[in-house]
Amino acid sequence: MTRDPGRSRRSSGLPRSAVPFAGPERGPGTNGAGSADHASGDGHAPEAVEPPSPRVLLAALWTSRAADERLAALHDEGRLPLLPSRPPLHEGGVVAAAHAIRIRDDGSGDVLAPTRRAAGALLLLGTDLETFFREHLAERTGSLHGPLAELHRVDFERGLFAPVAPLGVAVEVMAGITLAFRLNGEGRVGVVFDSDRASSTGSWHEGLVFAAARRCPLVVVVERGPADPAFPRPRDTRLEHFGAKGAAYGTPASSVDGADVLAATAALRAAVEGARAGGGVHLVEIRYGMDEGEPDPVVRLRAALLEEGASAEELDSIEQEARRRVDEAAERALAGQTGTGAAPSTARLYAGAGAPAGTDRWAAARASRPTRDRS
Amino acid sequence: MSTQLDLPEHLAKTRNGEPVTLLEAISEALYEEMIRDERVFLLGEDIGVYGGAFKVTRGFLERFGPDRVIDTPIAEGGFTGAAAGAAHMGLRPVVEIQFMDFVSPAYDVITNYIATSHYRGAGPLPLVIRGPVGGGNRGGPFHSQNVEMAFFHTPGLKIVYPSTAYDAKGLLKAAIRDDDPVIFEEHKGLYRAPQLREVLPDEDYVVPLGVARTVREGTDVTIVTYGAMVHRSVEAAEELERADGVSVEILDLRTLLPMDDEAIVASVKKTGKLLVVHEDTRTGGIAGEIAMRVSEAAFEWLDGPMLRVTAIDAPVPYSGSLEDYFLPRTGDIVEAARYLAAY
Repeated sequence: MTRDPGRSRRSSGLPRSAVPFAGPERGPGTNGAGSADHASGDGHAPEAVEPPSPRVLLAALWTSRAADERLAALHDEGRLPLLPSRPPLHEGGVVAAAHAIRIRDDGSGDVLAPTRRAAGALLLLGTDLETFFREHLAERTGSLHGPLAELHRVDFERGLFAPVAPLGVAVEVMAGITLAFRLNGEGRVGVVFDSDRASSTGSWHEGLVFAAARRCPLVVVVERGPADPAFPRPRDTRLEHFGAKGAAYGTPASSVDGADVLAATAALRAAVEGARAGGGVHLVEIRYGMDEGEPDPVVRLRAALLEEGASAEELDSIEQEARRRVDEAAERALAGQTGTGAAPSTARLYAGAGAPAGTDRWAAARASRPTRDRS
Repeated sequence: MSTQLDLPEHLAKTRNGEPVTLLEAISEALYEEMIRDERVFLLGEDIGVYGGAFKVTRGFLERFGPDRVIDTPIAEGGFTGAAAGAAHMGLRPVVEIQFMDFVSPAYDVITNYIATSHYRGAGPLPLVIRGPVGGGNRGGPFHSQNVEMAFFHTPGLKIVYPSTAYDAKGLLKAAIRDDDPVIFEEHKGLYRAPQLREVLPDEDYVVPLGVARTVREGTDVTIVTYGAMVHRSVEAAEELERADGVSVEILDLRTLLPMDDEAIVASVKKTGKLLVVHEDTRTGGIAGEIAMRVSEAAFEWLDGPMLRVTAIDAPVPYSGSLEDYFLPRTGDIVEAARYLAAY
């Protein structure tokens, strides 16, 4: 089978020349620095993505956190219509995933399906910071003309699958995306995030059943955090670790502390490469705030780097650089803001010529009441 | 088209100039599309080795292999969602729901995800979800439902419901080539109905979506209908003409969404009387929507109330006699049209 080259190369309307912050390894022909990563359309699994340096991971964590904090500040100032409700200290999972996959900007890389917890996904997959803030601010030049773009934006060229509100549905759809990878012999992998509670849904189960049965190159990540006291939840499972659910589907599974971003990156890299090598579905549980030790991935990684001999000044400069870039991008986005929202439209409801006949019937009836000639 | 194709004997009837059933027309459409476009592939329960519950895909696995004729787990949500993902990546999946009654587990992914996909910026989503519907086969409430109105209210979907072998083949080809998700309903009572056998053109034809067909021209009453009720309406029209001299025009919608408003309104303006006939149950049935559209566009032309003949508001009964009572009968159509003609 071959795919339609035009189909998977849709433009999101975002600038293709965007240069991201210091982030994951990127292959030749992409929007970032080169790496040992090779595109492959011939059915042979490419080489694995080079392991990221701890300093690159630290920069990614800081940028994601600084962006989150700036969004919260904008919301407090009344300049951001909606605030993404993200649990704190959850950057580790998506930072790890983005450094485990092949990132391209031409529709040939791996695909990442984050959840609302993963603000950094847009950034990590190559969106520049200014665009990131424009999308959040519902600025007219944002691709969707609405707020919280990372919750809705799809960009298959960059490998970004928008979060889907009905829990578990992303697993079903990503099963098919990765089925296509396998059928086309592309050597590509998908990584889909969902919460621990999503793993109780029928959609999550059915997606995993299908993907496992067809040996789709898919990594299913279950992000698990301690119960928020504000939202007391019933117990979702008798299992100690959600990774144990993998046995029910015959898939390899692992469980890792999300505060340890080095361990999380290693676990996801192993899962991604296992899937790429033909091992089918891999399940990875990422735990937040449930283990002994420091729960903040930034503090933890910084401590590890200091122990290895890094200087505090150098690590401080990584943070300062991330914050500087975030703040400057936010200011540019605010300065360029011209308004919010867009006119209601059905123009993109259907492919081709737009809305089908009948959509505007009521307006037409009001505009010109037909009158019968009874003569 | 089929003259150039390497076809198994049971799919070569059109090439041999022999008549085909509606089911065989659907099989031919799928087979020919899979040869024409290697991006087209099938997913469904027992469609491969077994050839499908109704044998629509018999012989497909041998020709196209297990990567293009995928036997799925019994997980309609899972494989329908997977089809959407494959469509995102440039393939053109056709999902078979073994009985359309069982499409409900996929309702979430169809309405929340698939129907909104293009609007949300994920690009066109070429995907067909097809399967058998309809009663009259003593299937009871789980194997007899018509599902169109469960999806009719969801912007972003197209809905097709053919009544003849010719239309079934041409509409299915059009649906597969369409860049939007299409729900394709096949009345199982028409699948092998001998009176519907017809010789199809041995060429690659499509029937465009969104265009109704005038089954029968008339001047006194317009019947708008689709699916199995087309044939029951024709019986009624013939009886009315014979017994009462009433001239009935029949419009087969073929595509429910988008609906051919133009054809409906033109016919109503001609006859001044509208009767909608559908096998689906009454409340919330498509008749209400059609009547509203006619009211908006052609109220001045109406010379009587807009009426409907439908199934009654109940689950499809197991009992044969009750099912016969439940479904619209030819006599019901005759009675309603006669009342309208005399109004």
